[in-house]
Amino acid sequence: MRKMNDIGLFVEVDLEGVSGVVYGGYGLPYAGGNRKEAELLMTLEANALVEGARQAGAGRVLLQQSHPFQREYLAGGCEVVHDSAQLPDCSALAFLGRHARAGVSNAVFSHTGSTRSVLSLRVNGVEFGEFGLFAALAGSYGVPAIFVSGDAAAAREAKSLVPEIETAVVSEGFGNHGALCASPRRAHRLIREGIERALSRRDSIPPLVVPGPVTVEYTFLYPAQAARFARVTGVSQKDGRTAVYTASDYQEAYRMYLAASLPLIWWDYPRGSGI
Amino acid sequence: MKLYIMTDMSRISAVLWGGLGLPPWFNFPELVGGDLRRTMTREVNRAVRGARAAGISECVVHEASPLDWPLLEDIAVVRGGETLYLDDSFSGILFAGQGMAGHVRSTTGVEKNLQEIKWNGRRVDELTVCALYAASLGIPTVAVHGVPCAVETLLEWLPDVPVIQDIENELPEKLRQVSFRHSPDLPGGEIITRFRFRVHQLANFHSRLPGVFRIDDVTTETRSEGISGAFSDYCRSGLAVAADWLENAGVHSSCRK
Repeated sequence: MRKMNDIGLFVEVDLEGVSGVVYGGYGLPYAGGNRKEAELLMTLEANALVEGARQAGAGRVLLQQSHPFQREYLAGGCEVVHDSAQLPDCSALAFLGRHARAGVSNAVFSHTGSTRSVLSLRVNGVEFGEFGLFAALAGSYGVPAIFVSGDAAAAREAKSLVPEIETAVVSEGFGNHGALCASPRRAHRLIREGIERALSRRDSIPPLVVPGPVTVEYTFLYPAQAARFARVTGVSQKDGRTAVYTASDYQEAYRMYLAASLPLIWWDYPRGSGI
Repeated sequence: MKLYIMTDMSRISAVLWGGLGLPPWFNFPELVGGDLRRTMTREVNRAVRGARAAGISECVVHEASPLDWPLLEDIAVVRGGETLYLDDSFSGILFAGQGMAGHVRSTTGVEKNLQEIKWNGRRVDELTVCALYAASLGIPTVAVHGVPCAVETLLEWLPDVPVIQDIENELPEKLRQVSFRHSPDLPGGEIITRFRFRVHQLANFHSRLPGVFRIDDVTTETRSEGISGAFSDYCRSGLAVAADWLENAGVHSSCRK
């Protein structure tokens, strides 16, 4: 067994599963409302996770930023990264602010990648959301996903793929844009306790491994999106809304998932942006 | 024992504040400023401490007006709510901050849109609708914290409800008296709800819903069985308000895009 201070913890940080971010009267990340408040709540949850991981003896904590932290509030003891390049060098993966996959009901702001384009995504016939996609990437390097905090639906989704994973449920959706949330003080306690439990039994949590060949099937909102994605080499259009590709292994499949954003990104630009 | 705490500031709707009644970009610039958020949050924390002193084990705060989250006690918060999330696990409901923003009275939703609501010819306001709904589930209003004029309508319906000013110190005693869990004289049978909107467009939107009838330019009517049905009608009226906001963002002076 590795010593605790050898443990490098990679944390995939998202916004919409942070307690208090509900895309309702407040919390809408990028369309007015209280974007700053949402980012602050995310930053404070990240601090709690780092503190818990440090208390449990983790040597390095890397936070992958996909939404901006409020850096002036981000405590020390961690490194902020912008991609997954260092994931293979880490020994465990944690998720913070995780939301459920697209289409799940009673889940806060459930989506997979983009609310404006992806209706569902299947990997070898199994519905995957952002949790599964990234946990399987870590799994392809032998890195186990040991912890997830987010809304109750996200925790259920994580458990369905990695039954041994530790969870901290910080909110429970009444619908897509309303939830019973833990106040920050409560959420931070749940996260600190959760990551400590996860690290203490990390060796009993197996990585999520998706064996090759890996077939990924997208169902899009608009047929034009499926047609556009099918222009990428190796992708074929199965029906009006569905495009599919097969990769030899999961890492190659994940690279194609990232490439999918290129033909779809045009649909994600807000109206009036001039593009 | 669990306590449900509704936050409110006059002119902000309690029930309609969330995803149903307000579009995502909605903001109340003059009311979500830091000072008012912090003031409301301090009141909520005082209420939570008062409730704990009286033996309440869990407080669920319905954020109907904005709070300063990092300052909150260790509690659960309903955010983006479209109705009251009450069940028989709650021992009481507390309304905090009624009229706190300095306006004259608690209002019917958002006053610029929904001007008056009557149940079987008797005036109700948002506070009263929520308190009567809770009472219909057997959940007593343990206290209303706020200015007296904000609760005039409620007291016409539920005259025994205590109105308190010092939430932390007065609440424990009121909670200990919760055995006053009497059965108030609630309206039964069919409840005819009359909604009087500020502009005809809102009445027009509202009357598109099934079961909603147009009475005149600005008035609509629903008929439902019991308080539960009338409460649903009240919440559903938010669909008309939201539709109007989405079509005409300038309808409320507080709106900004």
